[in-house]
Amino acid sequence: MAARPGRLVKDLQAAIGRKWVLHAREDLLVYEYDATIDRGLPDAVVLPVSADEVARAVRIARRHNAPVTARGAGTGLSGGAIPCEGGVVIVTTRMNRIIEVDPDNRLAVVEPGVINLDISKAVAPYGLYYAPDPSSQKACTIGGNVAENAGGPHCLRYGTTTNHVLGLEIVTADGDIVWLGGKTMATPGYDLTGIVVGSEGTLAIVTKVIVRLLHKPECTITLLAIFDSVDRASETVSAIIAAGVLPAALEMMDKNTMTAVEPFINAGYPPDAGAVLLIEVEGLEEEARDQANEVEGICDTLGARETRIGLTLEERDKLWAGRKGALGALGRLAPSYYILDGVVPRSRLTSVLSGVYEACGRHGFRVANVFHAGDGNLHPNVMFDERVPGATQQVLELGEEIMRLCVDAGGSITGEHGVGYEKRNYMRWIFSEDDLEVMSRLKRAFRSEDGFNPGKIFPTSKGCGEVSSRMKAAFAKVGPDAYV
Amino acid sequence: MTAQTSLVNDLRSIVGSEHVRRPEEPPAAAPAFIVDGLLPQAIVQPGTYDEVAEVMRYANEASLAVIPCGHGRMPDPGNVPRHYDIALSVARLNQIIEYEPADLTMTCQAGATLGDLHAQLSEAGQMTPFGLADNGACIGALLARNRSHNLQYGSPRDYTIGMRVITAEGLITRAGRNVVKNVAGYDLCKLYVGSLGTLGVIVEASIKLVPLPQARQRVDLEFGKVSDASTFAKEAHGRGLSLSAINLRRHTRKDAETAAIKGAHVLEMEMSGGTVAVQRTHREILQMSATYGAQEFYAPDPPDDPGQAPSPGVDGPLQLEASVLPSFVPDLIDRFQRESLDNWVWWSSPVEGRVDARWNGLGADGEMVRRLRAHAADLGGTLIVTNCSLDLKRRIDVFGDPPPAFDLMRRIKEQFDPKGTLSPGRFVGRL
Repeated sequence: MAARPGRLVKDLQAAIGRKWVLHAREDLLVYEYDATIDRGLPDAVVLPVSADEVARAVRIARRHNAPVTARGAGTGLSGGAIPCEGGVVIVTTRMNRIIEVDPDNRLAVVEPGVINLDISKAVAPYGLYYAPDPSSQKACTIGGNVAENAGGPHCLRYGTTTNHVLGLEIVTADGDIVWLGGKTMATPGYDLTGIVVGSEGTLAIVTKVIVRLLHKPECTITLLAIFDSVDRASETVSAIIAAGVLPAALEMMDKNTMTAVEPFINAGYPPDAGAVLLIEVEGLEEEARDQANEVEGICDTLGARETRIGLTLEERDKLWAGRKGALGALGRLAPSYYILDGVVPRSRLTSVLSGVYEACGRHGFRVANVFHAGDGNLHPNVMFDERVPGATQQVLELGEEIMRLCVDAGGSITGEHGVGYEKRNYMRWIFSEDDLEVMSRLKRAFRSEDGFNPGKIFPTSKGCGEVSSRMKAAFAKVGPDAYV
Repeated sequence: MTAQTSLVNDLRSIVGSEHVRRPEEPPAAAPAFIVDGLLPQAIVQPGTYDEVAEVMRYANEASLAVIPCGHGRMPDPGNVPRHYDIALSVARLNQIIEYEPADLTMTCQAGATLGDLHAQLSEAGQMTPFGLADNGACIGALLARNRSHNLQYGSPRDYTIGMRVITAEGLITRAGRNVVKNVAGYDLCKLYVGSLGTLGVIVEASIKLVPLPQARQRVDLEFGKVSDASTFAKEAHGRGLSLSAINLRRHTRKDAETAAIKGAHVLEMEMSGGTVAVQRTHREILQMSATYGAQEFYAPDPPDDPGQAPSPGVDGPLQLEASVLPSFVPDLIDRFQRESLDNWVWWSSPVEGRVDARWNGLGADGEMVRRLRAHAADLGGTLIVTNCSLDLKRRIDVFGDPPPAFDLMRRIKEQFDPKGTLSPGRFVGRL
């Protein structure tokens, strides 16, 4: 268990400098939460500036038997950055240099604290961009994206973080600095980069990332189609995919979301509409126009009452405004909301969504669905009032029920937010003991079992309170600064 | 009773006698089950996952070495195995398990060939991103090698979303799901793809599919200089044109019959996508070629070379795959050619930074491999030997020096296969 913080803090201060080691309770409180409901207070927070300092901090923590949890901007939605069992939080925000941009070879080498959107800004002069675009991309760091294998609306066509990372410099639980993968397409050996991406900080701490960059498409067209019902919109999603059109993004918002958004965005959503689809196609101009025509035709056939088309950046931004402002607007409808993340095969969207509405109705909660429909990645946002006794517990039960619906439809318990702390006991719904045993072999191979982010991903028979007295689950009001 | 007879009998009791044979039994000539000159004691073709698991348990307990394979037609690259007792073929596991076109995903067994799959998927206007280059290749073998790269869709690692893998000790395990986005637990698919059968036997995979392109076309251009061709390729790709493959190679002798530029290079550009996009791509490439002084090239009929990189082979001439930064491709080719221009046949993807090459000369030895590898390393890349004489193969590590993360790789192998049952000695660093 965690040793006396006094000694731990002194050793860290000696190695990293007093200024960059926090240990006063009021300083630590800032690092006990992320964008989820869980909390956990660290014993010390370190803000290193280099891989070497990270390695030193890891070795010191190991000597003191203190677990280490890496943290970027703290925008995660599965508690990945929360130190469940206390110990040392390593914050990567000072490691925020873009070390190299190589436009000729379409790659960049960046430190983990670099903000996602800043990569695209830095490479824009070369006509390049970094494709994964989690909705928090103005705030979230690339290190956190790597840990969670972050997604975003445009993953439909371009894939998630794992498809855009070529190599990683990591610090192992032994405190060694090791390169995985590299700048070239192929490197001999097991694909350890692919393993560390999405490992939620449990295998290694990432200290440099080699990202792949894409050429900006010549033409992007955004369509917004308004439907009478969620069912019709869901059928349209399947029809678009089945027709052989692979849009760059294919997002859905339901009636509750539109109702919340309309007063703030003035998007002109009809008050009686059931759902909107936001569809983006891109590529060569001819190709994008062809696809836009085809998508418009499919929407018409399936009963869209109106389809708006955005060609210029200004027009497109206007169509996206409702989607981008959705969560902020939802925050004004109820004191709290609980963001869920599940994924189903696309053809099961209609039936699972109706199950979601049914379950929410039965529990007496309003729900707003705003999500990546093209990927089958659902984000029901359940609105509730945490001050009502028992409401929190009931919302958690509802969340579990909705995850069940996804799994029963052949889906998964998380599409892009991660397992973290909250969903680890759902892991047995989709994986056998043998599957989990095989996964845990990686933890043993990386020698990170208790050292890095303990309490995450793997199921436990222990309840929340038993894992650590430090870990007090408490609902926080999630406001406009939350993203999905 | 010899040890081999006993082994064959034991395996027959697991999978049925008609599905186990000695390599010398008919149908004879199964040369591909020979790995680097070594013959297995038995070739076994289980018909269920339970049978695969049972074979693995049996082999693991008896300390017998198993090399997983498909239809026995595609030798893997890899070092000479330390032992080889059983060829475990997944050929009979060839069913499509789940296919719903509206999901644009498919789950099939590892022994299904691209041809099998194409027959069904094309009816719904879809295909696998593997393309159709090698219809007889099975999914399991393609994934184990992470071969086949497409400029539009990436590598198998990018579109494999789920797998069923049977471990060395016979656990039937699952990784991922049949959904396109999923971050539940470690992404073990990434570990298995490209692991050359050293961590488990792949028996099933879920794959992201892609729409069948409306149009496909190819245009070949001749360039005098590798560097011009390479710059051209990168510019065309940078314009976002609908290109699924860009391949650069030297003229063959036969090519020279119809070549406009003697001793030149051919840039093969495969276009694929919507009809209008392919038309526009074709038009633009021809316009660009005028400014580069490149000539359209019409291959002699019949061409003497399929224009594709050679598959790894056995006991043949030296073949290699080098990977460098795209901008260093011309430099690497130049360095190779300095070894003697006439003896090289090479194929390169200037956009992806890959050079595959075959040395047709005599006397390829360890020193030459070392020299070539040093060139790739000097340009920040790596080089693996995909074929060479057995004599040479026994003396080199085909993957070169172990990579920086080799300690982690070794520990992973120890965790997954502590007894060294699966393809022992074949992988990087002779894992």
